[in-house]
Amino acid sequence: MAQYEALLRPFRLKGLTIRNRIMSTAHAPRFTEHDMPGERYQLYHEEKAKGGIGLTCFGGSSSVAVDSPLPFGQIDASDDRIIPYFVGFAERIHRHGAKLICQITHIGRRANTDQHHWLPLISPSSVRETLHRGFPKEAEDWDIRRTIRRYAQAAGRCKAGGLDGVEVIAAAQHLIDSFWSPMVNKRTDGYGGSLENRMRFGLEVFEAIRKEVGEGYVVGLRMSGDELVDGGLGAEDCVVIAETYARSGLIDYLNVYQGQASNFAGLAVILPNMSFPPAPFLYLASAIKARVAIPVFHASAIRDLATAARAIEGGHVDLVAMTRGHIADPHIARKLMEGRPEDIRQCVGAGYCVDGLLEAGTACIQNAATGREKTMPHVIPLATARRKVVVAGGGPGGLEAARVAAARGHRVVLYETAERVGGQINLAAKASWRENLTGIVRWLESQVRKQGVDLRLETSATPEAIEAEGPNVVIVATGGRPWRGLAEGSDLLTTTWDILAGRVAPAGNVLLYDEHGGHQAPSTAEFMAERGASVELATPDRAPAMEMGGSNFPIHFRELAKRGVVFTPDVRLMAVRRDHARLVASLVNEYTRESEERLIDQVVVEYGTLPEDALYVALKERSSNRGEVDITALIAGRPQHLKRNPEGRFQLFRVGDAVAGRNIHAALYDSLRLCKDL
Amino acid sequence: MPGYEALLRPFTLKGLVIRNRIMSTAHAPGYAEAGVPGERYQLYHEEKAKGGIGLTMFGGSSSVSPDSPATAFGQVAVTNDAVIPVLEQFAARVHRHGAAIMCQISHMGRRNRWDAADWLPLVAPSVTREPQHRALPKEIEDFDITRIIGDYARAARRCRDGGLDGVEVMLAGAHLINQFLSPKWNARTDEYGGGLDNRMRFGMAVLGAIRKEVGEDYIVGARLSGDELIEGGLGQDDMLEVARRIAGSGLVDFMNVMHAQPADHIGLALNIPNMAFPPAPFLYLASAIKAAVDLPVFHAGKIADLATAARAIEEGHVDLVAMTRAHIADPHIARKLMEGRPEQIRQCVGANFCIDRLYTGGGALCIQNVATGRERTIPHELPRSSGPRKTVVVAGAGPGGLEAARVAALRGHRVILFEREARAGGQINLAAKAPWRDSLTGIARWLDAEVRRLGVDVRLGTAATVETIEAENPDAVLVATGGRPNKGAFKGDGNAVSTWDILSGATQPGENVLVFDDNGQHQGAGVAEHLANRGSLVELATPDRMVAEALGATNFAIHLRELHKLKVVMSPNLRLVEVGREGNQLVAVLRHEYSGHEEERLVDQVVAEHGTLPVDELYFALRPRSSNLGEVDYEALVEGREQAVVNNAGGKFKLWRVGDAIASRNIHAAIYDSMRLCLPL
Repeated sequence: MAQYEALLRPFRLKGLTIRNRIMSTAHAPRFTEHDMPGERYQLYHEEKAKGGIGLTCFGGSSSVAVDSPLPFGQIDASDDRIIPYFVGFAERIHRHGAKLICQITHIGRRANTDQHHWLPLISPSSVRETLHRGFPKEAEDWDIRRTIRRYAQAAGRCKAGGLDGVEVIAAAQHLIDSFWSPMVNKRTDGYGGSLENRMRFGLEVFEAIRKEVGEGYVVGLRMSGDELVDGGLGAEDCVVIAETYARSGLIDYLNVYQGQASNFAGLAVILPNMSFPPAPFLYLASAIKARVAIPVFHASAIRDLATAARAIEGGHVDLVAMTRGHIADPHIARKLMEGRPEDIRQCVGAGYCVDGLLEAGTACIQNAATGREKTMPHVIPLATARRKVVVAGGGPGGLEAARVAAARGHRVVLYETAERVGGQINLAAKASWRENLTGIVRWLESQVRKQGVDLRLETSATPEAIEAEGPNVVIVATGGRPWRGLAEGSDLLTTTWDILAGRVAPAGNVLLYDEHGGHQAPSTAEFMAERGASVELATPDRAPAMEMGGSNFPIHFRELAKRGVVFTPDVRLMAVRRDHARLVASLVNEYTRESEERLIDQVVVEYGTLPEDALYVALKERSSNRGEVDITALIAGRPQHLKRNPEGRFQLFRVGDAVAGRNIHAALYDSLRLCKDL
Repeated sequence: MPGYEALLRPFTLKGLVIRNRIMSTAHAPGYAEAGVPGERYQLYHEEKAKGGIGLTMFGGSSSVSPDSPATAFGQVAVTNDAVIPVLEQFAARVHRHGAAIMCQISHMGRRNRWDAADWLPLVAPSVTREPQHRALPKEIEDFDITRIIGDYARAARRCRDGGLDGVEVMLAGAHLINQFLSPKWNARTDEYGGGLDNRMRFGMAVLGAIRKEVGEDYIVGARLSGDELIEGGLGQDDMLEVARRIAGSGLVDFMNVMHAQPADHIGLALNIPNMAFPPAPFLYLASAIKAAVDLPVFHAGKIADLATAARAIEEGHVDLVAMTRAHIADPHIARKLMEGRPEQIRQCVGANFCIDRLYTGGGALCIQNVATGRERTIPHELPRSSGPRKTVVVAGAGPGGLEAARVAALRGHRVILFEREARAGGQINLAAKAPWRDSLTGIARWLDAEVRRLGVDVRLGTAATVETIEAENPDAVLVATGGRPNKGAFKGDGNAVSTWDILSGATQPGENVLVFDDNGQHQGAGVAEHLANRGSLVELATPDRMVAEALGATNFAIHLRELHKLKVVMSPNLRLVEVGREGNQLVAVLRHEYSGHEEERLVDQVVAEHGTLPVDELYFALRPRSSNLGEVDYEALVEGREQAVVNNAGGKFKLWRVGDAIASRNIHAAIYDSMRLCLPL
């Protein structure tokens, strides 16, 4: 692939030869077991190594000391217990020709104290970080001494564990960059005041690390190129810091970040979602690259090969990180080398992975195998016997079912009533900054077509039509329809679907009632306010967008505030009635049960969806399993064999919102789990 | 102890002799590891057994099926036979000390998250969203019903095979059986919906299947609500009828009566009443069911003191009285009573730090007893030191200082406790001035009483100085001088007052008041209520997404109820950047956290809350004179070893800071600091 060849050139980092220019930066996917990177964590990175990546960094914010808590489910590298895990991890990655580096840190004030070992947080000064809420103590001389030693020891463990290098993070308000930042560092001793003083602690850390690991070992620094906040470090400050550290001879590369992330608005900047253009902060890495003599790496919304290749080709960076890119598709480099870049499942920037909502560990909105490598394949193997599979519905769940079944080698017919596939994604993408969502559909559709699925658009799947195909398996992926809730007067309500689809125009004063908490209601509020409506966003939740994490809700909050949308939490919609040409909505307070009313022109509601299950119900008695799923087999990744009806001639399964209103990932996972064993 | 004898009478439950009337109800402390109740979980209950409890139930909401993920509250999973040996070990541990042990089992239905554990669709009788967990379920199908009934029966059998004394089925708590039972959430038109018989059908089928599986002799109980206390839910008469029918079926051996229906935040706050409630607020519901059925009846619900507990038994309201949170505060209630020293019981104050931690992401911990849930490393009964007697000086008698003095005294050391104020308690005394928070003083009262009982030399009204401390020739000095109010960093901070100024009465409430809360705990909300109660018009602004963001549901829901009632205007997402004077009034500039847009308020008073800054002058004055220069060996601290840092050969004492004198934290953190430093002394 000529236009991308810059990406495939090997790179020499000190004594290390990295096979290409593609990397993944360190992050914390919450896959640790008892704070250690066990099998799940390692398999997740091994998949990237199999997929041809040059360098995979892991262990975002791995802790160097007992007083550096683990708020993101990080690795604990504060004692020698970690070394055997590193050894196993390194073997696993090296086996496939990739390199691996672990990131270490003392997280300083970026945590809360009421967890882990309940030790006081430390920071250059007693300035609280808004995001994690903990009030730190001002680091004492002995804290500084102790912490420097702990950094060095943790770096030594990386080396002892056979990793190819160690990266220290001094960005996103960890301890070292807290010392750098005049916003946080109010000290009057040798560690505060001038920039030279503020840089001292970090330099002492690197001196100790270098002493511990020796000259030959790769040591990197991840830092921000511009904190992008009032009173924080500006771009020129960051360049000076980068130059100073690079000149010290203590470090071998710089990995350039952006922003500061000490509050949610800042978090959305370091994890740019689909509202940002591609590579929005590459200029910061490029500016540092121009001023230092050591290699520079960078990650941030570099989702496509063209942008990645430009970053290398244009000399902006030496390695280009596609971190979320690899969460969506760990086989980027391999697909590129095999000349089929169009098969790469491109990250759409939904931020589902980084939103930190999933206790069970990160998940990709569009790739249900990521993080589940032990049970879910990234490459679907062929089945031994060819079967006939009919899928009803071309939303994400139906497309994934068709894709996986076809990859298994089965004959697949996919019905879709609309004139194009995509289901609810097509609707969601109509909201102001959500159009990239369609990328999920585009990839699935192209794969389905490439694999020869018989795609029947504008064709309703009826029981008769399905049976006429003589299927072995029927997957009902008919999705959902908007639910209108339980309030009285529901015939007077408009749904978010009506608005986004353009069926109903926003009218004057609007009460938008959200009993769901996802993107739907804030998106619709923005959509309506852009078209001139005055919108009040009411919800029984404590705040709007409760189902969203820090890379998404701040963008909604910003856009909603800009457009003057009023937030009214803690109320439940009870009834809507007509009052001449207008509507009266009755709201009840969730806590006091007191009522209040609104006289408005339109009441728009979001309650999630009810399943479109008529086809499923019609097919249930004709199927061999009567629609039942063997949950135990499903969880264990074994084929479905339930027999509930001897007359039934096909197995029947429902997926996605046709079962219950959930989300894109749930629909894809339903389909992948059922179809990978077909 | 006369007055409390009723509590110590044994009780026979279907052949099982329970040694007294005191129990702990099933709850989920969040200690299970991937659904398994391991050592931490078992030690936590074993401590209650050691402490003399009659019956301890564990495994609140223990999951019977994979589509009821045991992750919402870190529950136990009884979904397969691998759990049996763990239950055997658990039972042996509790039986060893003479207590009985049971497990609760349940399918949570829609009260869960589908994006957890195995990502299976949730089930419910009808498609409605539970406000708390915000997930939409699927309408349960015929095969789900069959499967789940079987799962309940198998789970009950595992409890029996694991040697537990009985099993309790959750018919309340907004779980699946409750979802069928309640007309509020069951809109079915088949034989499982409509009339009461139909709505009870699923629950009765579960109880029937369990009985068939475990046999006639095994103890099976039902936990049910005495009144859901919600519009459209099951009222008291409905629940009496449900109780009669269940009792009439002969399928269960006891009824454990709870109250409310925790489907939403305020429902949860009623379900687990905090200190805003009077003692035993829902005993009447259990009493009514006891009068209606011929079965033993148990009840829990803010019964924290022995007098109330004894009355509940003596007057025949219930057969066993549950003191569940009370055992989190003190697992040795029965033993202390039997040994004639009930005044030494550390009484639960209803702070609900324990339960709220489950909703803010941690395992249950007690605000005042740091040994709870940490039994492996911290004993509830502290042994005397075998080493030489030391002199320990503690500066400051807030919770951290009191605990340091208590633990050092129990270790056998000579302890001098200095307190500048006329009474001990520190910030607790201030916090207790906020509306409905007065019970907090119980923490200081118990610590103060213990410290005096143990012979600590308490010097009230006496500030510790370097000289007075050195005059005692101490081996160790603990600086527990607490904090001072921090209003945060904004221009014109001198024009604002602190929450301390308001609560202490030092500053009178203004007419129009802006409270700016950049902390998110009780302080800001409590002061807003305090002001509004006194007639102020109050706006409560915060840069957080919501008021009281750092609190869990059993507390924030009460704050929200009070704030809404008092018409306090809540303005989230705003940061105070400046307070200026304009005539006799103040202009406050608030900046939107997300859009950067600024708006102004013209008010009479601005109250700003941003935690505390350490009062650390004494610490820094003592530091050069100490042997460790104030340094703490954190690894030793975490591992429970004695502090051995020597940085200064000339120093004659070890010096440590605890609590807010280090950094603004909370009561538990201060007490835990002291316990960890003083236990190895």
